[in-house]
Amino acid sequence: MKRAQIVDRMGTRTRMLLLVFGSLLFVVASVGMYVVYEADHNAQIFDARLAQYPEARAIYLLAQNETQDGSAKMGITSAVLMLLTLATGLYASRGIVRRLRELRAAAQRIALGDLESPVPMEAHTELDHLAFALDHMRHDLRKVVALSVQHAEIERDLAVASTVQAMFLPSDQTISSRHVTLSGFCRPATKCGGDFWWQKTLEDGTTLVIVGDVTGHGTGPAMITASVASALHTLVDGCASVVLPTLLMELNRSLEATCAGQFFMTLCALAIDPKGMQLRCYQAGAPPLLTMDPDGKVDVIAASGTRLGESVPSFGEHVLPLHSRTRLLCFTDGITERTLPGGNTFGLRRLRRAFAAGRSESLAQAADALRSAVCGDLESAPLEDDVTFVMVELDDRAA
Amino acid sequence: MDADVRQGKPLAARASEPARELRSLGRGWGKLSIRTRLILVATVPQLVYTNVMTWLGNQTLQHALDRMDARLVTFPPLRAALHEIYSEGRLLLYVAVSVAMGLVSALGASVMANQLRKKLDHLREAAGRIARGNLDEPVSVRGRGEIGQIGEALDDVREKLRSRIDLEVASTQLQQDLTLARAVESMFLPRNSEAEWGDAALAAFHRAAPRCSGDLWHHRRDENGVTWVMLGDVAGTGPGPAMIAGAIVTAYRIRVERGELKDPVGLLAGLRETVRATAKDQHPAACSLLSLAEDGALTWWSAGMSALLVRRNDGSITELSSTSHALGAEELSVTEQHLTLAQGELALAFSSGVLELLRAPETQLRELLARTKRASVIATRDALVSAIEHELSQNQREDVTLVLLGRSEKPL
Repeated sequence: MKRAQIVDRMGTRTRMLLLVFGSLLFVVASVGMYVVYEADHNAQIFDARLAQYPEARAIYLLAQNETQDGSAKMGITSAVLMLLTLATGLYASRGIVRRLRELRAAAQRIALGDLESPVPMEAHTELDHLAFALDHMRHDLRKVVALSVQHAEIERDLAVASTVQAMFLPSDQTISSRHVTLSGFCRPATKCGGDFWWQKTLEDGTTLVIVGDVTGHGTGPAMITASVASALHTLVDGCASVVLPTLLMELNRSLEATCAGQFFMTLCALAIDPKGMQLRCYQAGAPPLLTMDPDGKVDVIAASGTRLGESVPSFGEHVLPLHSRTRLLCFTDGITERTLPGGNTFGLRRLRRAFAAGRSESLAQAADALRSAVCGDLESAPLEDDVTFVMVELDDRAA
Repeated sequence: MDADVRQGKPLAARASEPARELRSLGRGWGKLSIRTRLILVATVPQLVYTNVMTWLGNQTLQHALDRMDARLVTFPPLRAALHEIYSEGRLLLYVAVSVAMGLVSALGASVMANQLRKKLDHLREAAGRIARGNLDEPVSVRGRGEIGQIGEALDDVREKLRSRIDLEVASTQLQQDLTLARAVESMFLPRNSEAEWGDAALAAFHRAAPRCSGDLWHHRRDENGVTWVMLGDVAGTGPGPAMIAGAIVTAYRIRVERGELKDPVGLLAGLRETVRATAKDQHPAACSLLSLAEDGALTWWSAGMSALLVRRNDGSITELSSTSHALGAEELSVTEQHLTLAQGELALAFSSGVLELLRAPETQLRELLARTKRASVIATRDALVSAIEHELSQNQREDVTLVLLGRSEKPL
């Protein structure tokens, strides 16, 4: 609904005085014109009736002379009356103008942020409807301000939560261990999210990589990722070697004990054994794993499996031979289900292409390029879901 | 409001008699609608003017005639001509013209009143829209006049509000997020807050802060008949500390299942690893372990928890206090203290959120506990909770956790 602009150019007092004075001037002008007309008309009557008495004109002039005095008096009275009219106008406009100025002061106070002083009320005229509306607005704005204070507090808490969650993720984006370089990226849709990734190189040289996604996003799922990260830390800490399915079963037990079937976690776990040139991949309801050999051929490794947190878990397992310079890409469904500006989803095909496009670049550069392909150039573009991926590359030394 | 103001100024109200009359006249005028006022202001002075001038004109004429009469200038044709000029018909015409002009003025006043009303209505609607939070539509009244300035002030309010984000929506989303977070926070904690094993009983109370915070507790009865209670408190409020609390509980559970309760200090050291690995030293977590054996031997390990209260059967309160550091500090410091509970006696462990609610934190909780006499564990907890219930509903900022562990009166 488009409203026409209403411009209030002059003060209400000026406006009212103009009205009063204008209408009086109108009268005076009309009377003046009437008098001129009358004089002409009267002269005609005199001419018609007194033509035959030449001396009558002299008497008429005498009579007019007699009225000179009166005319002067009339002029003075007219001026006095006009001044009186002005005074009346001032007096009459006083009440309205005073109220309007009070309301103006009240509105300006509100605009400057003073929501405590009430708007003065005098339930009499239309102006008080406005006063009432202003006061009502002031009241509601107080609620809005209180809300915004509360909002700011929550925001501050969430900022802390966001920092805390970041502490649960690996602190470096690109990590090089003995035979493996990996680069991870995790961006929650809001301040906190249900995505997480984790990596650890064990004493036996095996590198474990886990990318997980708790159902939903926001602070609640973030707490669950913290718990899972803590469980991983506690379970793996100090172990020289880990049997991945056993670890996943332990995680599943911990998650089920906590969430009792209310939250689940999809997960893709990799155990990269450079000595045996072997990759073990376990999937629990997660999107497939992408592998790329040095020639740029991309394979999709999909395995079935239930999500973590189910009472009867099962994991899809794949064992693949590895070659040096093979790249792996683990990701959460936030990437493939991301809606692009055109309305299409990002999709697996686009992801494969983006993954393959980075084959000649270094791992860190390829990960950067993939990140901007998924999240767009704008760092601050809002995401519908958390986005996480981990790219892994086997070194030459591994061969 | 206005009446109050008037009552507040009795001296001003007792103005002198004529002034009061004038004011009551003014007040009557103030009760008229703006339209009526404008019409009156536009037409009355005009009528007065025309009438006074007409009267004066007639006076002047009459005066002139009288003067002519006095000079014996009587001339019948002149009189007849004058009579014709000032005939009643002509006077009527004069009156008609003045009434018509009055009507035109009234019309002008009415148009002006309409404009004024329209502007005021716009302002009123705009104020209503802003109050409802509809900030998209600009206030359409502006300009240098009073009304225009009110319009500009309102638009200023609107812009200022709009420059913040759409609060209502964002706030609702955050609230939903927090509701979920609180639900998740409680998932990490035991689902049953009461337990009985014949020789020992436990009752707990936990309420998450409106915006979450980091309390945690856990209980377990091991195969040797020892009851274990873990109670912790991560510093800070909000979902961040709650996340750390969740991480600690998870680590605690895994370690307990591994049998690490055999070495409680080692277990606390392990939990410290969890805190250090994530929150570094930014969110220290106070943590305590309590064990109660079948023979009544009570042991309290504390890392940063300040006190444990024990209610004796004679009505006195024994307080164990600790000056150890919370987990997450540079060094691990754990205090270990021993007591023996007789049957019917109980120990109260609590998080710092409870003390926040009390007026005299050092003594009030002791008094409250002493007042429960020899009530059962559950009844004691209920008494404590009802004592802080009011404060809890009004001023809770942090999580509040109470855990009571006691020896039952010997069941036969």
